[in-house]
Amino acid sequence: MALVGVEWVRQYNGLAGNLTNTKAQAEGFLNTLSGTAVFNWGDNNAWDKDFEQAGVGSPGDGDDSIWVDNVDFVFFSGHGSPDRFYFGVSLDDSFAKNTEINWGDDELEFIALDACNVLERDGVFDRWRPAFRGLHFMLGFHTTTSDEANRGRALAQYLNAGWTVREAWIRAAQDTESSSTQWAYLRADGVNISTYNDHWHGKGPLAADPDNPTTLWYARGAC
Amino acid sequence: MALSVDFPAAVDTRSEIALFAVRPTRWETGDVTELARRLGFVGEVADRGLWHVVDDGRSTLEVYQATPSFRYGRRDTGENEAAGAVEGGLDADQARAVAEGWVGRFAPAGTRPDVHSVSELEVLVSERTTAQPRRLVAGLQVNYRFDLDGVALLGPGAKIQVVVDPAGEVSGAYRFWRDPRPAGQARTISVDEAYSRFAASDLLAGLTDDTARAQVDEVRLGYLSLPPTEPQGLLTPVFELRGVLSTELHPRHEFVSYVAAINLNDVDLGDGAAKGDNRWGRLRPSLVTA
Repeated sequence: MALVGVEWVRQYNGLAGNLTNTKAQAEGFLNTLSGTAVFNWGDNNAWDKDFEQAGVGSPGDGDDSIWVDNVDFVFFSGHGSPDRFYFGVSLDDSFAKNTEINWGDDELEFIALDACNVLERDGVFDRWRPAFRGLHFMLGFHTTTSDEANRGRALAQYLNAGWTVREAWIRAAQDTESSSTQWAYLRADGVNISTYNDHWHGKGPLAADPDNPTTLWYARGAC
Repeated sequence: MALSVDFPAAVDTRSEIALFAVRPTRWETGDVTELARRLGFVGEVADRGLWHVVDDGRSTLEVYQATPSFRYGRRDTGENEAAGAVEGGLDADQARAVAEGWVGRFAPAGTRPDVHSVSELEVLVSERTTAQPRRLVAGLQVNYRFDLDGVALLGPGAKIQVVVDPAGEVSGAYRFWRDPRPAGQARTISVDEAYSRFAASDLLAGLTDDTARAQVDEVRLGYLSLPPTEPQGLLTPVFELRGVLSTELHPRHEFVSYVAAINLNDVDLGDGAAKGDNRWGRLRPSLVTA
């Protein structure tokens, strides 16, 4: 059975503006997607080190092998910027930076970062190529995005309905944003491995992990 | 002390605004098959929960059961994003002309949507062995928006997008819409009052002038239309506020916030609602900050 985890932040404890709908958004994903829910960490229980690899970058205190890289699909909802995403507490420093991240060397195949600008186009390969260590897809936005409640559930519904991962993300984004917002995704191919037609577990073809990616593909468009 | 927010000078806005209730939607199987026929294909209608779906192996029609909304698209048979994509730009004027033909046939009756933007479906390909990524364009998206009586429809639930591929053909489109019914008028709150409600919202709670900066750059009045899967009985009149919030941790957060432009508890949807039942009017959508 496929494993799923979510983390979300509403209360930023004065570090950034609070958000209203991240809990509903992330839990909508967790409670809808077919699979086994492994963790649901929110607000002060959502930690940046859950996403970071031990010994990578600075401070280097990551625990992703216990949390994020120990499941197949993770959904994060909170604030973001092109090279990081943010938390309301410092464990270890309130943000998960691209330089602290290796994903997919354990279990993680898909991650949705429902946060502004993480997949901003300019420099996206330089920022996020090192993170792909078996990860299939990173789903996100080229632009800012709304603080809204329905996209996690929508993504899960489309995945359950048998759409490919990229088609499901595009649909969920279009359903929940105005056309001023731009969805984006970044995916990896390997030698004789294409993730283009990846489905969620049990819903269709799913490629082997591209542990040593030969090609990264980036796509974006208006919601 | 609460965070001070820089607001633009309050603009005059109408003291009353027309209300629009949303007519319930009911798709019959025949409606769906007829729509598929008009889109150029036939097939069995499958009930997939939130959608009625017609799929003939070459094209797919997804009809949203909750609203008069649908999405159409050619099936993707390529091996990757480069299939059918081209290097360089595409002709936006040609794309608009093609899109206008589609919109003329499939826009909701009585509406005249306007082109909001033309955007590229952009693909970037980075090979491990090459220094520079390759850029491709898979199509142009012609994006339309609506208004009611000159007031913009905002949010995700009222828009049209037509995707024109490099060959100049419609490869996909969606039409998201809610069928409005006039339901009287309501007094609007002042823009200054909207500013006050925004300043007191949870977005800014816990921030002070020592820790943050906030400015609102744009304000406009509109009707909020929710996602096409969601029930909605009233197109909520809102002020849309766009601006920037900065803290040391998060130096630039560009936000869009919606503040109800009327006092929702005062809404009377008129003769269409059951006597004494104004729940649709009182309901504040989760997208509305205050």
